[in-house]
Amino acid sequence: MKTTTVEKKITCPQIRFRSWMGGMFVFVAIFIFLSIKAPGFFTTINLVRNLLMPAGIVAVIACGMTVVMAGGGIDLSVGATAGLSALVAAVTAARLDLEILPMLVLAIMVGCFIGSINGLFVAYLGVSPFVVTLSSVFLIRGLEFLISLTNVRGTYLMLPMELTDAGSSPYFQLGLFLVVVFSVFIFLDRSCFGRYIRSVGENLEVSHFSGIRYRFYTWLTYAVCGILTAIGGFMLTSYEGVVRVGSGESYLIDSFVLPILGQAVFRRISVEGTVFGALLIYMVLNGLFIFGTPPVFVNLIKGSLLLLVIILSGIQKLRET
Amino acid sequence: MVETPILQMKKISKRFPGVQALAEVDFDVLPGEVHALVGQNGAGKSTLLKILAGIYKADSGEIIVDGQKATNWTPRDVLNHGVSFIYQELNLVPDLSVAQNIYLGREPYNSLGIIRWDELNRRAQSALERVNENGIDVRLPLNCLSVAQQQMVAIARALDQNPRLLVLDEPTSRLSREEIEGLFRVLNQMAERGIAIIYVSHRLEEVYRISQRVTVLRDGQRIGTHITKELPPNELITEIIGERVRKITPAQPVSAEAPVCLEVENLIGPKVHGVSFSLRRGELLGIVGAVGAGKTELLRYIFGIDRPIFGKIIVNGEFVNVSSTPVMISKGLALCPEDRKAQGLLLDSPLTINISLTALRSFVWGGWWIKRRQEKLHAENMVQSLRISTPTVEQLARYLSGGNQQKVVLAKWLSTNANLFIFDEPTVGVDVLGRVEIYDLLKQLTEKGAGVILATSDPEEAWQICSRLLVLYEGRIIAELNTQQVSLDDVMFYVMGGKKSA
Amino acid sequence: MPERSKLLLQRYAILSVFAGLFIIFSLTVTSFATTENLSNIIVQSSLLAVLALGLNLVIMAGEIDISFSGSVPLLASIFVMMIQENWPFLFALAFVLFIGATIGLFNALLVTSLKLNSFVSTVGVMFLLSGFWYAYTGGTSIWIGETFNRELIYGYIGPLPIIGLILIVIFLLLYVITEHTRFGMAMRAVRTDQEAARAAGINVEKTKILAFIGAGLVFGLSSVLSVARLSGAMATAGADIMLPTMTIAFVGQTVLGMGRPNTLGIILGALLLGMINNTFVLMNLPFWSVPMAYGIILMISIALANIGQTDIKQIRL
Repeated sequence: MKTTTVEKKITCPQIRFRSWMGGMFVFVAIFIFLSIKAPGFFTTINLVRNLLMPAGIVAVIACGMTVVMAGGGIDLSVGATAGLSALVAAVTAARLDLEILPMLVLAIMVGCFIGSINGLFVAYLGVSPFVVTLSSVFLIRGLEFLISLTNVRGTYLMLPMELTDAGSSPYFQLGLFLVVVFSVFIFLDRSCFGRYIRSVGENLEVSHFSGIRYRFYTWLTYAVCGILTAIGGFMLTSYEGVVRVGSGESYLIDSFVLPILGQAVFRRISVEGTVFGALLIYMVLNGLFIFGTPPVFVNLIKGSLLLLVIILSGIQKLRET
Repeated sequence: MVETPILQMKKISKRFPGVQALAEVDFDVLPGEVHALVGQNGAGKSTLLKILAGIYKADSGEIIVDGQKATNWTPRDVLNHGVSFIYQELNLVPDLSVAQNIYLGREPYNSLGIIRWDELNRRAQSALERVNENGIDVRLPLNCLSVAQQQMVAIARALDQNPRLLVLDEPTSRLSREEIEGLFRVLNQMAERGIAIIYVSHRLEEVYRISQRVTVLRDGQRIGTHITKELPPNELITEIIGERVRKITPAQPVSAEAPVCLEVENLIGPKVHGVSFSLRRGELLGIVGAVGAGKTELLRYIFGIDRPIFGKIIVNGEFVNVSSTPVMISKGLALCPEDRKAQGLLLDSPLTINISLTALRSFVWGGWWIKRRQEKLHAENMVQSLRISTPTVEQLARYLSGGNQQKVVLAKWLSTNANLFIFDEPTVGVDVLGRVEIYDLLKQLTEKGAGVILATSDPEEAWQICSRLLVLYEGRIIAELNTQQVSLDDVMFYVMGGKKSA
Repeated sequence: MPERSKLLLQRYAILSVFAGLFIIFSLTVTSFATTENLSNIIVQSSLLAVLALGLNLVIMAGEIDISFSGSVPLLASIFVMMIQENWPFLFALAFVLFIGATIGLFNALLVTSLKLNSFVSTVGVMFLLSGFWYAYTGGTSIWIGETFNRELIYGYIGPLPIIGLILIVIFLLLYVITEHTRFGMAMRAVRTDQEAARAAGINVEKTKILAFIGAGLVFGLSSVLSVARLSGAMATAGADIMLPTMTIAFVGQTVLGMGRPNTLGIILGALLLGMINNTFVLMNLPFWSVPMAYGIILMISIALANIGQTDIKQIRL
């Protein structure tokens, strides 16, 4: 008789619960520590303006990447798409004197379009997502220069007043952040679309054998990512008050790091993981800056955090086998 | 005369998460002997070979090669001690040239460390000549060759290493008859020269032809080692498959008036050479064939995963024009694939998700929101009615036993409105009790009016439970048998090719 | 065996684009076909070419190393500081190479011992290194000053740019190693099928470690070359080099129809992109045309590499 003892009677929620606990413990511990020891940390103005608002923007863009990664792909053009969508919206708004909402819709349409093209190449033409989205970055960069009629990176364009006002309003930014995060969570973890996407990301062959339209759902992840990064770009632009040509590109790395951080803690690519990663990083950064760390150390901190987390997670995985 | 074995594996055990792959297995090979190693998929043969090759490390036990204990041996150590392998999956590199593949890891080089291409190509050519493959240009990339030729390259590579012990894992599955004859000639020559050979194969006729001894593995244990000549095939198969499920009542044969739910006309593809048959509602049809006969390929055509080059598929009277898996599923087909772990289940997802995967539409509200409680309840119902053994429905599929995993796959399909079920080797790696349950489930399906195809390489299983069975041999149906009128020996006769053995 | 036409297309398409552009430019742009301009192109492409050769080394072993955009600025700054402190050139060079190799070793161990995904872990290392760079330089550019003879590297011997000769030497060395030694064969096997390589007796871990260390050495060398080029260690260096280098690495795979990472393809890819960069400026084309051209070339490369294979490729992280 074959001895197939069920070694670990651990269920799906149980595994996630345990590592989630570890992550949350660390998070709460750091939060409490900073509240006590860092002067000015636990004030509304600090928490909202220096932590939640910037983290919110990054988190929204990273949510786009989260969806793509849940489907087994990657999108290197998230930063560029964010920038381009915002740029198009701003330039058009200036010409046509648009309100905020139509601007947002326009940005979303641009992002969706770019994402759909990416998705077309990956899902139906079988091109590696790495290469497709990399070339998108270049094409988008070229487009940005073309549209803004400038040839210098970092040129500024002014934005309409209402947008700048809205952008600096925490209600607007955080409200948008919550709406987006909540919707993506519902999409990815409570809707049938998300179920199919995750299935494709976990095992393409099984999904195919089970009758799932895997090509369509792969395409969908890229289109949705485009929409989300456009919203993030919009949030970024309104927050900064100006449109910078080439803005958003620095967000590529962050939008990749956050889902990975989330995966190390929550055991899978997820919205809650990404948001957790965003809050954790920005909280640590915020605390360190209050303690007087010069802002130039941002990358060092991010890198150390990322490496620390993935190394620990790697060690744990090795121990499990 | 007692000879010292060239290889001794003593009490080898190996455990992977969730399964004991090998339990205290003993195995030895004498010089000049061809020793066959047989067993079902998952019995532990390839694990044993990989431990021998140094790719896995045994948890306990000893390996002695040519008098030397192998501790912490890397694959390179194993090769240096004169053991060469021809793997089932070839383990060659497709975009390297033939010559580069033959000499991978042992390329001749000059004093500067630069590979001597002329010498490499020349020696590769002669290595191929030794296995009678003269027509291949060794500078071509490997993937320009046919699969059979690639197999010969793998064989040439192993022989060129002048091994003391040669291990072959399913070497003939891709070869033509002449190539097999040629291979056997070479193997016999080598055995005469004192080289020991381990021969792993599902093709029992070959085992009888070429081996002096045969060892049977089952469920990670060595069941027995015998002198091949002295072991009747029936007993061999019994050892391989295990305890016979004696008391199965076969499914009822179906009346000739029952409607035909599936008709297959002249399917032709790379491994399928003109297959036609029909299936009626309520019928349990067996398709029996040895591993490699083309069963899985045939089923993939029927289920829409691959497109045949030629042929028609008619489901419930409707000709299916463009077959794709979603289309076939919508017409009521269901497939429990051969490799349930890689193709049937999302191993790292809980049972609830796996069971509702195909039928998700019936658990959504408004076309998108998943009704999780309903889904969970449904899963619990399925677990109960199929008697799936699991602590909860949230358990990850990975941690279930083989039989239970198979039931989960079935539960997935039962959640759809499938009425045509195809099972590809459903009882491999399943214990006796689990098998009985699966057979009962198959019969229940037919009693409810579904058409069921059972594709298997176990002739006895098909003969016992199916009312009608087709024998598939090298891509053709060579016999259609009514199980009540033929004996098991008749079935096996056809499975082995339907020819008198030489 | 791929059909003849597909193979021909793959083999010669990018080359034809290259040749075609070359001809068009020679005919339409006045100062294009002069020795001066051509050697300019070589000079401009060399730095990225060397970087891409290093990256290619890791790609040939089946992994990837993004950390160079963090290590190059850091190593460049270290080099400049040492020269300013009057360390001898060769010593500073050796030190930088040593640090580069150590970074490579660290990257390799993350991948081989902890089984981490190389993309993720080298991104982390990149962050770390750029953090160190910020700490070291305060985020500003450093000029190298008078003591350094830039002409050593960016000078000319007759009409030939020295940097071009350096590039050729590095290219030949890497070409021989990756195509004509056991190690090169081992790398190719490891990249295509790790298990097959292991079964053939190849030490997969050692192969990867050597590839990362080799890349680290090349990245170290590039940092010195970049110092020579810009007369200092530039602040924006990191962000500027990451995407173009990766592009060259991808384009290089399809030049010559190889469909796999190869050394000669890198050189051609770098020259192609360098040629576009140079000539578009000569032709006074708007700035946005350069990145667009990069994107288009990349698309063509992958379209060619991919003909007929519509299977979805997934990224396993």
